[in-house]
Amino acid sequence: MSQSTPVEDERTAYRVATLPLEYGTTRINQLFTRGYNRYIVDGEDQPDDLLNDLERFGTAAFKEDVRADAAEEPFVDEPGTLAVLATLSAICVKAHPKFEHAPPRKVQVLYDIRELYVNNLASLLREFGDGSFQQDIAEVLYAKDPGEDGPHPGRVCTGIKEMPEFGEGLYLEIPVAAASRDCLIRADTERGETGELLTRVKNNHLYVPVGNFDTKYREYARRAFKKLLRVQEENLSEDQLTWLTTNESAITERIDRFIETGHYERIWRDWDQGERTIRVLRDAIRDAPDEVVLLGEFHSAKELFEAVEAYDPEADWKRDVCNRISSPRSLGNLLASQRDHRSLTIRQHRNTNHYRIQESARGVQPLTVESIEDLFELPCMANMAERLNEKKPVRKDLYNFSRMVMWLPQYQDSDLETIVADLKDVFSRWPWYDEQVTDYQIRYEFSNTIGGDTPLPMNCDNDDMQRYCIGQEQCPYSIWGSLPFPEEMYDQLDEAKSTGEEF
Amino acid sequence: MTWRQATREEIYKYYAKEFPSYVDELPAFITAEGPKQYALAFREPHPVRKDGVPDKDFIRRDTWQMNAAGDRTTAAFDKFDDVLEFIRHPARNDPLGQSDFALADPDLLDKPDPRPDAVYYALDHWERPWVLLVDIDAKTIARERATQAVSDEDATGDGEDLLDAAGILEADPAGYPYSFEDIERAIEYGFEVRDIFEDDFNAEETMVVYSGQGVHVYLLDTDPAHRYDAKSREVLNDLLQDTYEIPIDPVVTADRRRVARLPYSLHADVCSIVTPIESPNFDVQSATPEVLQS
Repeated sequence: MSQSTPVEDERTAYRVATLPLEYGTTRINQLFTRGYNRYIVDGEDQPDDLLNDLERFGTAAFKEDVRADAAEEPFVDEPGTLAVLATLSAICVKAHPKFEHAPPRKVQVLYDIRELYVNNLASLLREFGDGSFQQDIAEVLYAKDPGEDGPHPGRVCTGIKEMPEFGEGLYLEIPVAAASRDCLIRADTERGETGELLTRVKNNHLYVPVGNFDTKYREYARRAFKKLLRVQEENLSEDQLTWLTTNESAITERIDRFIETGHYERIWRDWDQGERTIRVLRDAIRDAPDEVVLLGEFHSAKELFEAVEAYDPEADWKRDVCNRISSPRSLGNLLASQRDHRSLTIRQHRNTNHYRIQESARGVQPLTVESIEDLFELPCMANMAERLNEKKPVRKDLYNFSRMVMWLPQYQDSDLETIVADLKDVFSRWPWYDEQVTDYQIRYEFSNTIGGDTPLPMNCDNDDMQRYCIGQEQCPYSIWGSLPFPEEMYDQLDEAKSTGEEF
Repeated sequence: MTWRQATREEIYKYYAKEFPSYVDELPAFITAEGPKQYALAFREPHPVRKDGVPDKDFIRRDTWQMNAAGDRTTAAFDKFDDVLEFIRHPARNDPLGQSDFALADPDLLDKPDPRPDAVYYALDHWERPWVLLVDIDAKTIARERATQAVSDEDATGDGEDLLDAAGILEADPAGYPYSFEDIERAIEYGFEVRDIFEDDFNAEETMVVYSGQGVHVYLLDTDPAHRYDAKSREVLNDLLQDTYEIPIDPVVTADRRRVARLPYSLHADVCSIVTPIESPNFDVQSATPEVLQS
């Protein structure tokens, strides 16, 4: 093994970052030193730059598309920096009060950080290496314990090759004498069946499809990242840890917002099964064409099952839930097991059960918004309406109110005339109403996009709302949590919070 | 002729007269001192010298004594003739000598001189680190054939009933859980495995041995590229069974500590000589010892 350290030698840094389980604490700390060195300019520490970068890394990790893109294009360009930012972000997550007593394996955001790390590393390796790194990794991933005659004398992976005779793609070449069952890859099949062997034989070597390498590395990376994190945690002094958690805010705020908006699936790994089922059903119902099924209406298990069958979600956890629902009967059983869920009502109709799923967000009371008037069920909006009886709106009131309406699902695809007409109808109840002024003001707000995106609605923390807020502790609602805003709104929220260049 | 058990006298006659003519044809690695053990199976359990120790129907004998460090010290057999003597008269030539655990002295017994129903040697070897053997058994093929041929209603189990329903027990050799057809198929599979060894695993030294009720296929190359440990042998098993669809006995391949029937020894249950063969057209009847034909 090379004696050079990851501090000076990039190749060694890559090896330690990729295969930390093969190295001791000293080498891993040298990798971190390499990363920290980037934040020393002319002998001076640059803690703000570090903080800034780790906040950007941590918050970006929560976004699925960023994680996915990082597998193609590196998000961080250097292995030492990557290791530092990923581990410090994870430490910030673990320091969040919400996770104080939670085992890390249950915290989804830690998985997200690890995924960004692994994907980023994979694309860095592709750019840096000449394929020899992949061979080094395969060496570790496919190695078996020494047999009766001692360890296999040669390389475990003797090449990564195209083998047109076996089909497209690359194959890892492993001598049979170095092979174990880990090298036998089977095709995916229905549960319980043994899939066809995809590993091929030629010339006394096995040829393993390289796709399996990625899967295996992900398994390895789970333990690998845990080790990096442990070394980093042991490396930080109490003072450094305090500095970190006191100064970091972006990651903590993002987690707070997930909680506030009821996005529990983004925080918890094995988020409550019943909650997941209801969430997926709600999405499937929203997604169903032609209003065959509707939220807030009673439907048979068969009708709901058809909606689930037609629903094709992107998120893995949602697909898992859908896959578990195999028939109307299994859906009925699943719902029956969740009969106490606050968004679910089960009613017997002749001899059949009918099920009603309602809009909801976890932790806050959901609001069904059929017309704009329904917004006044929010105590803050009721306060605002009351104040508007006495005074003309300040501009921000109108502005915030319009934005909230813009994001309501029923207005997402409406033409502007309909929205303006409906809003004017609401405003006309107040004594100061002037049709022309209001018309102009509404149209102005709607033309006032941000880079083509609809401006985000206000939330409960918005300063302008504070004059109407009855106090978040007492309020059973939350603006972002109770209103039926679509996922795109939250996605845009994520993007708005994390713009900036790569580092 | 029909398949039958050899008598005690026929077994003795075979090892006394016919077997010595084959000794020179034994594979070179089967010597008095090479395999770590030789083993014998008896039809009836034979007493050992020490009182209170159960009678034995299977004995293994090390070819070498070892010191505490595991190094060889004294050989049990000087030359292969000694092995032969042990096969002919196991109780008189037991390498354990006068030890309490040696076979009981025939002079003291009503039923003296056990005869070996089968002779085995250990695949584990002093000079040769690995011998790979794949076992293909006609019984397995017959059972699979019966399962496919017999519908669920006709068979009540997967044992004799199933074979009976498929007509396998009646077919020649009658009474055995396979027919000649299954043995022939096993031999064909054996040569398929040999081709796989040579074509896909780059083997140069192979051997197919008719075992009496199936075949043993050997991979004998000694270069490190063929040093398949237990884990690699599991891979080989899976590939042979899944990719090449050969009905092998996977336990045998993976276990290097097994004993294998000695080539040219007699499979006394079927009166057949365990014979290295060169072609899938091998006629199993030709493996019947001459001493039994006369």
